[in-house]
Amino acid sequence: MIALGLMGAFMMVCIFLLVFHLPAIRTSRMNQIGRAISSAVESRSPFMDGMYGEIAEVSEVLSVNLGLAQKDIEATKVAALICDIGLCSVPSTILQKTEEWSPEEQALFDRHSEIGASIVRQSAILRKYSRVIQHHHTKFEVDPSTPIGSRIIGVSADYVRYKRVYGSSRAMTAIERQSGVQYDPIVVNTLKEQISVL
Amino acid sequence: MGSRPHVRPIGQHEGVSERTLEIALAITLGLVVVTVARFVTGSGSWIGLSLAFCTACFLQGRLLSRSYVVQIPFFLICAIKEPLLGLLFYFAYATLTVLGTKVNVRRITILLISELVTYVIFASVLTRLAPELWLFAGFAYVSLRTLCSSILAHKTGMPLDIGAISGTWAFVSTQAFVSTGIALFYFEKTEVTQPLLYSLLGISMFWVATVFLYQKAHSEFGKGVVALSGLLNFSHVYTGNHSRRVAYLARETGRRLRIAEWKLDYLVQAALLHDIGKIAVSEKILEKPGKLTDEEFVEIKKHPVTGEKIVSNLSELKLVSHWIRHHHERFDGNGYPDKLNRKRIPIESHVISVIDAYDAMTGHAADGHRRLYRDPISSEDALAELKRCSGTQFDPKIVKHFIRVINERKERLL
Repeated sequence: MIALGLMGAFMMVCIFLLVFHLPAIRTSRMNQIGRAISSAVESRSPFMDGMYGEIAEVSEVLSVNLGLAQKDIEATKVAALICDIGLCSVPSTILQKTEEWSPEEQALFDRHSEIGASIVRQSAILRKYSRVIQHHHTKFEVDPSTPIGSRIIGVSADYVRYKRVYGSSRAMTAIERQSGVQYDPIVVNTLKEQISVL
Repeated sequence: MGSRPHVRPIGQHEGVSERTLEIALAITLGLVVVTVARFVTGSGSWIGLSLAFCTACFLQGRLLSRSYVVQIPFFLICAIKEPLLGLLFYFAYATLTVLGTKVNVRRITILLISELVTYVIFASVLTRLAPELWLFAGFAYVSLRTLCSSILAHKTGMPLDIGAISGTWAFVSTQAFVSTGIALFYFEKTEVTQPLLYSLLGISMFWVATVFLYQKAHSEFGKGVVALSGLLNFSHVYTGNHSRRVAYLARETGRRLRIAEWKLDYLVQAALLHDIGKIAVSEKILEKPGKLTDEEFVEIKKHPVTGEKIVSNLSELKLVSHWIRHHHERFDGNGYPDKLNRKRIPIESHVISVIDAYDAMTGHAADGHRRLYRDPISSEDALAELKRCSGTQFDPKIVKHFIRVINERKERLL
């Protein structure tokens, strides 16, 4: 009887490990990989220091409030961390420039989502983020059927970028002006509702 | 920055839903096979038991890795109660696994024998103290080991899963089987109640599934590290291929220097990531043909610290980030960033620094993007140069072993 009870307890421990601990370490490892990649990208320019952590936080708040499944929330967070992975192949002279970019430089910069998607596609574990990364700067009016993750990241990345320069309220105004054109209106509305906690 | 009070920090809240199907499969695989076999054979004889084991092994062999099929004789012989032969087969299996995965045979043999001896001692002590607990000897042992290794991992930076010590997960997962098997031989004379025996087997399958899934998570992490190191390739082509070549030589050199087996995996990852900090260095500086100015040198000298910062995001690679920080230290203490000397430089960092220098000198004909400011020199000249610098820039001992590794590789090619 004692033996049976102990056996049962051991089974419980195993089930606990398999069901709770393992998925937890998987997501936290994915998160760590994302953090390492983002800090590698950030190191290329002093303007980006700590930016992707913020973008991931905003994306998380947005995806929670948009009612995404837990799995998708985690995936969006990681995708937000690595969304600008393509900046690795944009020359750092462009990234570190303080004055306006020339049209050629702008064009080089604009290719980063395309390049990022192709980088991500080469890795077996990051491949699933390639569509999100490819479309995170796609205009909503051009293609409204991009994955929800990329629409969320598009809004949160630009919001964080504007906020760092102009402050929170002006950033919100700038985002709202582009709502329906560049950004998905639903995501923009959620951001507006949640702006107090960000 | 603005205030954001109520946002959860990332990583604090982790989801549960991933791979539920996979886990459910692994659980049912273990339990169902055993239960079905019990129903089929009715009384639950030894033959039924061995059938169950064989089927389970075969399924696992198909699902996980083909080498599992090799275990079948072992369990068959267990089933006809020939303990000595069973052990013999187990050793044969272990040797095959070891040969198949090219791990250090001597180390693994020592590990195996010590493992078995410890287990038998453990089991006999346990059964002296509490005879009714003999069924748990195997699990108590594996659990205790896991506990010990996790404490060890916390203290020394060793990998958490035991599999990385031997370099093959198959080795670890067989331990659960083997401990069960030994328990069966060892306590054959004790009264065995059939249901308990079956649940015991079920649990051991369970344990294997656990180890397998953890191992899988570990290999995913490894792929993530490779992806991270690949990033460098996209900003500076030369550096990326360079890291891969250094990683290739690092394991062999590390093994010659008798660096612990579990550290070698980390050494390879460190070699892959050692220049990741260069991602922050402007390509204008790295690809500059002429001599660099002082400011540019200062910029380049930051890369070990940047690399450490990037890798420190990966909590598992604490050791690696430490090694990366010191891979430009010199034996005489004139290196950067911390001006460590002699024994204070971690040996792993120094291995990377020697190979780094060798590869930078020889370049590589195949990649087309050599360092522009210097023509590549032949391998012999590079080794002579390493020898000349040993004692000042490099540790003579490491250079000696590295030269041997290179010469052996040449002999193999001839």
